[in-house]
Amino acid sequence: MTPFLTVRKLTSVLLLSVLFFTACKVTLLSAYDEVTDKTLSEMQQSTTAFFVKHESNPQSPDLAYNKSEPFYEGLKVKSRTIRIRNNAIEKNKIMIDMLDLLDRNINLMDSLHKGKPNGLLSTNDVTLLKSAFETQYTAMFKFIMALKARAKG
Amino acid sequence: MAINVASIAKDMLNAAKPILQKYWKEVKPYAEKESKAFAQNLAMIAKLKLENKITKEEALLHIEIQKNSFRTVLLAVQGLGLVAVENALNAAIGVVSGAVNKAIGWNLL
Repeated sequence: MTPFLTVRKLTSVLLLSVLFFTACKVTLLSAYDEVTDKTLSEMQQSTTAFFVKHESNPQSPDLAYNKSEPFYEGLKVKSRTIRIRNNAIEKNKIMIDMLDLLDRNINLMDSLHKGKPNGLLSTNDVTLLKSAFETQYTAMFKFIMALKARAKG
Repeated sequence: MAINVASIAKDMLNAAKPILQKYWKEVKPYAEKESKAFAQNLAMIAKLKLENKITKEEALLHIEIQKNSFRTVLLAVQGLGLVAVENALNAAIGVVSGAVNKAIGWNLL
């Protein structure tokens, strides 16, 4: 037996062994979760509606912080509920980190709004917040859609 | 039937490569667009602060919000990359399992 054949045979055995133990399909990420997708869609709709109200009727007393508290509470409840659910899913660190960042931004927007002397967000605030949240939801949906496509594939 | 390791390795690479290329082709413009938007938003915050249209505390809150948003973009890029790597690995394994099954005459993998 030449050294070349030995190396070839060893490589074949190694390749077969690796495949044997990897049992055909590799999974590096959690499966697509429909509940997370649905809850995030509801949160995104609620956030979009909030910004649309500010854009169509800026400085309306109805948009003051004291009247917006149910909006923030609603978002926080949903955010924390899906965070707990996602914590129980294996190989799900990316989604958990995304949900933590979303929760942090909801709290930061709440603080910003709460700190306004007249209780109202300015047009510039709304422009910046809308951009940040749209970017954030889009990134999360891109990842969720990739998981969904992978589940179908 | 002998297993041609060199040929299988080449086929595995050929199966994986287009998946990873497709990932980068799709993700690169997205990452570039979001990086630009992040920079523009930070510039807008700086301008608003310089013009005294927002307070220092408000500027800091806005910066933190933009940073968290951009971090989510980076996480999405990482996640999409992992999906692509997973697809590439499975495509490569598909190639080698076909070759191994054919070589031994029954479905081992």
